[in-house]
Amino acid sequence: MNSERSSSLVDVPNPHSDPIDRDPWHPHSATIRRIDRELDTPTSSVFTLELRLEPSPYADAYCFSPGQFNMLLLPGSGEVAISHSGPSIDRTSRTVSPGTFLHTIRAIGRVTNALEKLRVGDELGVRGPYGTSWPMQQLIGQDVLLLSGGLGMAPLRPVVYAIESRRDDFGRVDLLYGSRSPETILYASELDAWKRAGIGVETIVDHAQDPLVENSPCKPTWTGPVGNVTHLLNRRSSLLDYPDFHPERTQVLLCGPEIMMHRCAQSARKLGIPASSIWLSMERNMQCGVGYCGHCQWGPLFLCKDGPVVPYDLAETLLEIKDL
Amino acid sequence: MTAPPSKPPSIDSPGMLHDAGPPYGTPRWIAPSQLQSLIDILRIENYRVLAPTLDQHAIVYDEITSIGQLPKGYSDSQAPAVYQLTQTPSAPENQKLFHFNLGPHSPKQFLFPPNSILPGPQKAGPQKADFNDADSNQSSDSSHEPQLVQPMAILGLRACELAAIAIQDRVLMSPPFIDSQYALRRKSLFVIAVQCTTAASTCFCHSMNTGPELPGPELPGPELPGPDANPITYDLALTELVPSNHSQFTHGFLIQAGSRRGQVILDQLPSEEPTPEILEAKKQTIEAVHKKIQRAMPSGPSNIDGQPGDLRDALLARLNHPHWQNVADRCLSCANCTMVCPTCFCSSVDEVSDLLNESSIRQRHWDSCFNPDFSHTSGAPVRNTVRSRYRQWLTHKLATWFDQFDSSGCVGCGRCITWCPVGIDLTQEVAKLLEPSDAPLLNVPPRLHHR
Ligand SMILES: Cc1cc2nc3c(=O)[nH]c(=O)nc-3n(C[C@H](O)[C@H](O)[C@H](O)COP(=O)(O)OP(=O)(O)OC[C@H]3O[C@@H](n4cnc5c(N)ncnc54)[C@H](O)[C@@H]3O)c2cc1C
Ligand code: SF4
Ligand code: SF4
Ligand code: FES
Repeated sequence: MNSERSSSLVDVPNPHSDPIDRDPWHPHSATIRRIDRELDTPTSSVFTLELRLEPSPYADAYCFSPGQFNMLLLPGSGEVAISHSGPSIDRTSRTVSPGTFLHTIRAIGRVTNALEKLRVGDELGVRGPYGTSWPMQQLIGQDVLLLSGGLGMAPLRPVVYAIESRRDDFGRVDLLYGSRSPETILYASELDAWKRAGIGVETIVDHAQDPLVENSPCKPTWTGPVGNVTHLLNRRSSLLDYPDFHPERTQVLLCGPEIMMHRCAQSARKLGIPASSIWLSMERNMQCGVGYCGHCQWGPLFLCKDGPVVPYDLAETLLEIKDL
Repeated sequence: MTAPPSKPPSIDSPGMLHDAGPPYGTPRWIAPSQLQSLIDILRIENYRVLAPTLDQHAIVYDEITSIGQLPKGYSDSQAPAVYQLTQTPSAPENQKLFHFNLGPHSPKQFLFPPNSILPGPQKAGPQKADFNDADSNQSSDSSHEPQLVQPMAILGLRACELAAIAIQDRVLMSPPFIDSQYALRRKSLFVIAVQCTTAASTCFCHSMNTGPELPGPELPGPELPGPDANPITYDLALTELVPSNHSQFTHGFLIQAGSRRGQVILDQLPSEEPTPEILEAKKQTIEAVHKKIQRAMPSGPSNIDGQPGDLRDALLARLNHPHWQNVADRCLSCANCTMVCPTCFCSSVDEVSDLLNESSIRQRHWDSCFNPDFSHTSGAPVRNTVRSRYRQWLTHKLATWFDQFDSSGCVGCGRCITWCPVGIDLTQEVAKLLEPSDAPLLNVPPRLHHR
């Protein structure tokens, strides 16, 4: 694989070009090389798999853009859509390992619970990469606001990595990051490195202590803000606090629960950011990833092909309609 | 007429009309007994011949070997929630082999079967899984290579069914992704179309621009727009004619080819040049069918110039119309309409394991947007009401299909009207939805162009 392609910024958000497989139903085998436990609270079990494709022409041609996803197949359990959460970077050489990538998964149901039981060396099936990507080209030379809620940080992490690797190509970059509680901040150990790389990181939690964990022995130690991400965003309306906020040259990438993205997009519009500069990563049931099964339809869109990343000027009217 | 070079029919040359042109398409006249020869020739060429047959009080497609299995002398009477097989009462109609309209089956049953097995490992769980990638061994005969299928010939497809096939082609065979199992069946399909000579009360093909006439060299079919549009295709087309009082001809079929391989087969049948009287009888028969079609899909409210408005825009502006709840109060969300619809393509994939969970296959089966679980996302269905599910179905068929595939998703076959247990008729629901209501019209997103 061309290692530059997989994490580069020159990716085109057009999934229709050049698919690796013309018949998309074939799964390709990948081996788990590493498993990282990310969150281990009584209410949240999140882990990252480092997968490596078996050597094959498919593996050689494989490259993804931030925002795209794979279908992961565990025979006997089923198949799920999981976003790319980053290329796998070789620790010593600092280069992207060919045919290798990361998926951060929340164990939440039949298939994801079964995926959680896998061990290093186990195999699973991969189809992809599918879907649209974040508008990496359009971010160049612009200010970037990344807004993440909960597990929404996973699909945004490859964007952070890409910005980190070419920090000077971007204007002001801020990550506004909401979590349910301090214990459920995903990738918490990486936040300092991102700050050092010149990315503003502001975190906020719904609860200083996870209310779902009964009789938690620890006293809350959280000193940061409590509330939701929209609060962090709305603060930008104060010119006093944010004199260098330039809505007209800011691109907003949103990933999190639909209601959070909807509210944030509305706030961003009120702050003067054009609808075409606001991007959402939408989620719907997906069974195929390529426009065959019909499950992911959202109005005129197949979210597997026309999404998951959708510009707000397209999403705006659809978000207003209940049960669409 | 000059016979084209006699090349054996090949299964990889799909019957595309654009292949046609003189000398193809010149109509010939054959006796009913020649249909048996046609079936025999196709069977010798290794085709499985499917045709309308009688089964459980309905006319459905099934494999036949003899014209004796066709529903001669039968007709159907259809209305919302009504399908009744009838004996054609009087001569000469009771001689006819195709004096009926559509049954619950469509070519979808065969090109996109209700159940199919997807490629993938046959063993369950990690480690044991043997993905045996086609990557590493391109020429392997591994289980996930599409199985070779026996080529099919379907006798009796109507104009609207050809349009439905062209629509499913777009869903499953539009680059960049090609569903190879579908493509394999589709490309080996030999189509013997039959001109409708009667119409059911539920038919509205005319208003969808898909029928009732079969397309032909002298009458080009409604080519779906788009860069790589498949014209609506057949290999052979039949028009069954019976004599009226003063006719000089006897019961027979006008037959014409729409493809080279169709012509190759037609040339093997003893045929005559049709008389002007026969050609005139065909014209009159088609005119009579036109007159019989009573239903129509409304177009959008006319615009200021009095031109009919776009139905897509009209429906998408009315997603909050109170009439959706009115339909929802009647609809059982039973999914019958989507099962009988020749264009509905939604499916789900299930892992089917043996009892010991040692082997498992991935089974793809038809699904329906009427099933609450269909939209299950993060713990709950997105469309948790019948209202939202009926709205999804109707607006997909008649509105958002244009964004996705540059055509309507409805060909006007009327099956969903006949087979709805409570007789919901989409043409009437659309008419109601176009009536003024208190709900303000929504902004309509501009039409997307995927293709
Ligand atoms: C584009 C996209 C990217 C995603 N990225 C990630 C990610 O990076 N990490 C992660 O943990 N999760 C991600 N998800 C969600 C993930 O697909 C679901 O959590 C997963 O399908 C749940 O499957 P399950 O069998 O464990 O749960 P169950 O509740 O048992 O679900 C049963 C079936 O419903 C469907 N389903 C249920 N929830 C979802 C959902 N939210 N999205 C799509 N299909 C669903 C699946 O087909 C699933 O097999 C993503 C979803 C989409 C659409
Ligand atoms: S929606 Fe109804 S009338 Fe239209 S093609 Fe489907 S079954 Fe036929
Ligand atoms: S419209 Fe009729 S056939 Fe379709 S789901 Fe509703 S009740 Fe069933
Ligand atoms: S996931 Fe199957 S159509 Fe989008």
